[in-house]
Amino acid sequence: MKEKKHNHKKHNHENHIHEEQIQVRKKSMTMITLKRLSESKTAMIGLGIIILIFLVSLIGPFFCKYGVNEMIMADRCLPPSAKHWFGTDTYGRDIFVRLLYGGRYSLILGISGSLFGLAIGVVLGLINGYIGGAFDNIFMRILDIWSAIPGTLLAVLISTVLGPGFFNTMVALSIGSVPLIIRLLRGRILSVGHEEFLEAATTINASPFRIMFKHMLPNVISPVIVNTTMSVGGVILEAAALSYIGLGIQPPNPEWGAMLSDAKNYATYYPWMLLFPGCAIALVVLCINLLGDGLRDAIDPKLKK
Amino acid sequence: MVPVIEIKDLAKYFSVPAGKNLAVDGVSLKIERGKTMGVVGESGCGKSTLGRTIIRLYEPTSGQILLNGEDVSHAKGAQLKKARENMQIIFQDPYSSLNPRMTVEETVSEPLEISHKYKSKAEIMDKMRELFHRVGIDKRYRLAYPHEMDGGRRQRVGIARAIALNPEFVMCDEPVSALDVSVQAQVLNLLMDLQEQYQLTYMFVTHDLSVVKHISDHISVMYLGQLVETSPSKELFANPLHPYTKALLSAIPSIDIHRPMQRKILKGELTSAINPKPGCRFAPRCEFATESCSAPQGLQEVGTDHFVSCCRINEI
Amino acid sequence: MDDNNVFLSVNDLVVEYTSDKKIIYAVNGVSLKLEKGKTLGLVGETGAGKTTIAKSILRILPDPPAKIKSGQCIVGGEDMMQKTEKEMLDIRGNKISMIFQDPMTALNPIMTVGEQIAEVIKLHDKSLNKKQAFAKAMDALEMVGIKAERGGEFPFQFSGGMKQRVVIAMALASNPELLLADEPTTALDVTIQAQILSMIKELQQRQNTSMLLITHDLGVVAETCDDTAVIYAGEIVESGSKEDIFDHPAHPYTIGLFAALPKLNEETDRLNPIKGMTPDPSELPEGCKFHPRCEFAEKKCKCEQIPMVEVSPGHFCRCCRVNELER
Repeated sequence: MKEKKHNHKKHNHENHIHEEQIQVRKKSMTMITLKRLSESKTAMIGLGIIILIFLVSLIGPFFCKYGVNEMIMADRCLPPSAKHWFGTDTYGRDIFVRLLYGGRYSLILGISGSLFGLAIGVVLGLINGYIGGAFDNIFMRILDIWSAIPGTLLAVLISTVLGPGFFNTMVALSIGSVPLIIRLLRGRILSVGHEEFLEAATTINASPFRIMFKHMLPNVISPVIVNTTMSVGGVILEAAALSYIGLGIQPPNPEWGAMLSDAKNYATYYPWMLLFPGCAIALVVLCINLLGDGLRDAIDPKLKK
Repeated sequence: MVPVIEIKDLAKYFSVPAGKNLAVDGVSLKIERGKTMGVVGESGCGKSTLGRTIIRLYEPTSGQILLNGEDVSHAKGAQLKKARENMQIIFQDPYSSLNPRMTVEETVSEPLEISHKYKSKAEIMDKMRELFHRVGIDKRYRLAYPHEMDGGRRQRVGIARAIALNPEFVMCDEPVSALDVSVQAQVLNLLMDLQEQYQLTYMFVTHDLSVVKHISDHISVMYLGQLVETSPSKELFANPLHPYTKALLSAIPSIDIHRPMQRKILKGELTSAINPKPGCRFAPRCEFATESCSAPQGLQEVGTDHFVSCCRINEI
Repeated sequence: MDDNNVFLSVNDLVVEYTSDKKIIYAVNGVSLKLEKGKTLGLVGETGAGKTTIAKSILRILPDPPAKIKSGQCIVGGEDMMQKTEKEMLDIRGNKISMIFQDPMTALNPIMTVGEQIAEVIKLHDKSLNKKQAFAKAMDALEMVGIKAERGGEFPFQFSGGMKQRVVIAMALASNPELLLADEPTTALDVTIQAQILSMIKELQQRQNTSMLLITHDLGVVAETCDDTAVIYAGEIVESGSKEDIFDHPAHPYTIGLFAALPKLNEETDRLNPIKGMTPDPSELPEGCKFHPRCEFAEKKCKCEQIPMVEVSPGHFCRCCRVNELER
């Protein structure tokens, strides 16, 4: 993209008469998609709320009078009030502050987990699609085994082996989504794989790398992007599940799932401890699904009725 | 003079669940510099596979491909790269032959960037401008995407990409059959102009006989992976000898409403070249077929440069 | 043309599509006449509005984006535009049948061809039971030259030409009075095209069906049609008998089309293409739609709404300079 803009400027003076005729730069597919996306109200609301939550979680804690891990023994297990908006937990920590602070972990974990899975899946999927044939056959059987293991179980296994920590948790969370991404890519590659522009690329001596990433990728990626967006919510839930059983983000760091896990024993006595983190997770997942829905319609308008 | 392209007994088999598909089976032909070889036949006869095997999109099963006398049939690495720069292809479908996510400029400049023949960005831009001019694309379309252009313009972009590296041989795979009549004529003229300017050698694969007659010097007729007749263009239309060629020529809808063609309507359809029996593959549809047709056939010369593969040629 | 014998008459049909806030003027006031038992060839290039006309007659255009703005389509004295959707259900496939260009997508891949034809037959003759309908379907298959025992096979077991035969069998199974054939042989090879065309012609004569044949191939028109209409950018630019059009083409576009064809019996060095491209149907030129590409264009071609002129009895041409250009 950068390169193109550069040329654009360089030769602008030479044929600016022509430039005027085609007005601005002809719209690229990406621009068209983004424009369509921006026309979808629900997607924009979803995106807006996610950005809002993220910003608030980043800067919010600085403006609160309680520290994240600050325990006030006198204020244990208080219901929501003017002093503690969302109440306090069993250690006397302010749930509102912890929710804000935990949002960072949950959102970043959700997004980076999905992206990491996307990256692995795309590379493997493209290589498989490019080689094809017998390799594809064997690779698909490996995937069958891979996807036969439930995602959560896989995450638990990897998390146990790698140990806790942010990066390890992210890896553990992303592995489960890889087979689906490869399968999605494979389907797309099978349908565009025989198009002649790929043969054309071969005849001009394009390298396999170039064919995979410049010619195949942009034409097969859209359903995968949509899928990844939708999976962010799932990854957040899974991260919560990991924390819930004591893996993943470790205490005392607040993570929404971990907060749920802490609250589980007191649910009947102090329901707010469960309610607020639960609502936060539900809200983010909802917003991300709204965004993913809008993105799917924007990328493939044919699906929309 | 050494022909630009000479193929000897070229074969390309594909493995299919039912056995072997002899898509191209023992085809020999040569094309002289600056000439056009038309290859005609129905869909599924292997004409496209033949062309793609010659330009090394497919690995040949057996036989030889000589490019300017050099055997490139199993070339690898640098030799293959060099050969490919010399042999290009123009595709049938200008919709699927251009990457929908790349602008015209990106598509045409890609071979120039890859080849390393051009040192600087400016040289590439100069060459590209020359190409645009040669094939008649307005500079305004530089930054357009394929879906923003009509079929004729897209095909011009495909042609620009094919001639970008100054190849000697261009394989044209039905380049005008997806275009409207008025645009088809523009593209055919362009191809002929380019041939004159650059002394290009064409192999022109098509099912449209009036187009092939217009553009070709020499015509080969294919049926189920084999050549059944090859001859200079005029001779073939004046004196078709193989029963299949005759039927093919008579099936062309003529726009002359006062002299309707004497139709020879062929019975049956093209079967497939999967595990064929030895002998003439056209025999099941041929009105002259006898027992002798089940023996293997070979091309025999019946006139200057006119070869036919039919054992009963002298009787009918 | 004898007006009493006219079976299909399209009057002043206007169809527009809306897409992305643009209006696409697909059909702009088309009028056609087709006599009982005759064949009218509608010739034009991609995007000229040929298929839209056929679909308008059958009222199967998706609305939105398509909208029939005005016009009549009178088939056998009844205006299709006035029919309710329920009445149209009875007419489609019964009185009027359509053959589509692509036989690969016109058949249901998970039903045997026999069942598919039987279904059509049963829809239109409800007194038949399943067995009788299937027997009739077998007759229909035999009629198009496919052995009845293949009726139990699925579409993927047929080749392209065979599939098109099945599609034709379906279209003709109910003895329609009007057949709309939209590029029926474009997807097929020449030898198969010859088979299919001669078969359609024979069946049509036997059943005395009127046929509107849509094609871009002048050769196909020459072989099969009685009358011809040439369409350009949603307007009929020339119409008349086949002899009128092929022997005395009058409109510069028609003349250009003939000139652009490579001919089998002539030696030419270069073809004579029509310069330029077909106009964008959302931004049609004023006046004569062809004038930007026409070598005879004058000032008056750009501003006037060009009427149809009768150049000889039954031969009409939409060109304001046709009398001046008479050779």
